[in-house]
Amino acid sequence: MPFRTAHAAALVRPTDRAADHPAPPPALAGIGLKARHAALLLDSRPPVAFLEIHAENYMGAGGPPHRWLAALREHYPVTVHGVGLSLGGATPLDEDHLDALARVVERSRPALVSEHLAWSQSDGVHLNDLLPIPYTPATLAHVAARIDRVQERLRRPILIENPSAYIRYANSPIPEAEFLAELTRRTGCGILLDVNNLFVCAHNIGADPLTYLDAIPAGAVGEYHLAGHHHRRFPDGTSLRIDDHGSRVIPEVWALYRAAVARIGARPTLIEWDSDIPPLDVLCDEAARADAEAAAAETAAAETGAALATPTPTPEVRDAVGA
Amino acid sequence: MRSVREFQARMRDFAFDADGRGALVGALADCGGPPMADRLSIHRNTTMLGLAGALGDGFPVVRRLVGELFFDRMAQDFLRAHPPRRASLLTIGAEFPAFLTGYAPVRELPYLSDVARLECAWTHAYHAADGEPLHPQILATLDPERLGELRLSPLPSQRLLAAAYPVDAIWRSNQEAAPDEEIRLDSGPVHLLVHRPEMAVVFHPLSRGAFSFLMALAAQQTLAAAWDSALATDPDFDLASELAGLLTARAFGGYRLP
Repeated sequence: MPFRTAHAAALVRPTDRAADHPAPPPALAGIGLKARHAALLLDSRPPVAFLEIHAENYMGAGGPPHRWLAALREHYPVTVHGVGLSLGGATPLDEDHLDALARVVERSRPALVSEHLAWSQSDGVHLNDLLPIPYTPATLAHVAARIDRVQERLRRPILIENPSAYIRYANSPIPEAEFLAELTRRTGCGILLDVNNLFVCAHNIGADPLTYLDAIPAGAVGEYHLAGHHHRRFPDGTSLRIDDHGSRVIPEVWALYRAAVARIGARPTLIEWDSDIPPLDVLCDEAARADAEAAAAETAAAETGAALATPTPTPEVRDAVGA
Repeated sequence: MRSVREFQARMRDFAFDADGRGALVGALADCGGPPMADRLSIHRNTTMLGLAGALGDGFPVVRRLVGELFFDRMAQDFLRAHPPRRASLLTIGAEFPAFLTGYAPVRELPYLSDVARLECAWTHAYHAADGEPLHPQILATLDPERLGELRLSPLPSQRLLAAAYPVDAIWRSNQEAAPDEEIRLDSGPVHLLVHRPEMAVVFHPLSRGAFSFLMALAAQQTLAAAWDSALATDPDFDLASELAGLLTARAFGGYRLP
């Protein structure tokens, strides 16, 4: 059932608490909420645009995580990023997990909800990894149906993130950017463009990031992700870039971010940092850098007369959010 | 989708067992650069080391007792036997204490499984639904003639734990900046109430009688029946003082008096 149908739109009633969500945060940078930073965030309230949580860390019934989140929600917009739904999985969608995600969304009433174009579960076993899928007409229909199901359950559109990859499938005829574009057309979902993942894929499996950016429907992009990665070099001189979210964003990724902002426009942008987590001020510093890079890219694009796409929601998305 | 499903199943087996790499390669394209084995190993490491790390975060005292390197190997053995069935890793390792009981390399540490059970109880209490504890003076507001019919319910965070070793002392002495505490492994069994009356998880040592008493109340028995249970375990069980102590510890989340 595509989310854009009149039926799906009719599901969105003012009484649906899950649909009663705030507008997206401003097109500025936010940071991931880490348990160890919660008290300091609440005390010092640094000027970041939003806080992003991993949905799976808030699937407990109660306790300190929810207490901190409720307190921080008073001061910052919250966005929810799911890492466990396995939208690209070929075995049935984990409805219990979807229920748990719906509870997190209802409880935290996030400004944005996102998940991955990836699989992480097979026959009920969870791999704790986000693996790419082959891009074929069959997988396109499969993933679109699962996104429909999720949006119907959450009663709101979600953003879908491009994965990082170390392998490429032999049979994968549809370019990833076109696959994502088609998902937005079929389901009314948006795109979370992870600029670091795009860079990592370019290095590891030979995608061309600028062609990719040109193929992405700018109006569907609702958020960017930025992160550091690990460059692993092998004795024979080859290397892989490992998407470990454990360091600062590298200059090449900042450059690609500027290129993305010049083509697509500024959007809410998350600094992701999930391993070797640094002090809060390092995250805030990266967020300030992202704001400066986006502003510079927009100014440069305006000067060269490039037309910036504005984030106009598709009619389907407008219907979906009841705007 | 059938070929995708088969590939994903093989990839899953490879991630947990490092076997069957050959069966994967046929579905993949050569993109030059590092060989396929190195590429696939990244996925295997993400799964096994990521999950071992999550397990260690859930069992920090067990990890500290055996050391990180040993823990990682043990965690991988556990994960191969019990791959996680949930995407949320908050409560990963429910089967870990039982696994440790039968895990030959830790036979010399007979208390390890009990420590793991305490850490499971801690994690459960930390993430359980919040509950408002009954006021310690609640009994004074009830009809004294009918107290025998009273049913006291636990907080959602409650776990009752009986162990052959002093696991609460072992736990405490393995926290950051813990003061020196003499631990005697032969000091006899312990009975613990693990719960979270507010935001902090608390261990409350219980007498044998109080443990039976709380077990009976948690099974929704009346105060009179729970008292009988306690006396059957411990003829010296003193209801008035034990109940006052449990109320002061804010052990209960509600009551029913028909």
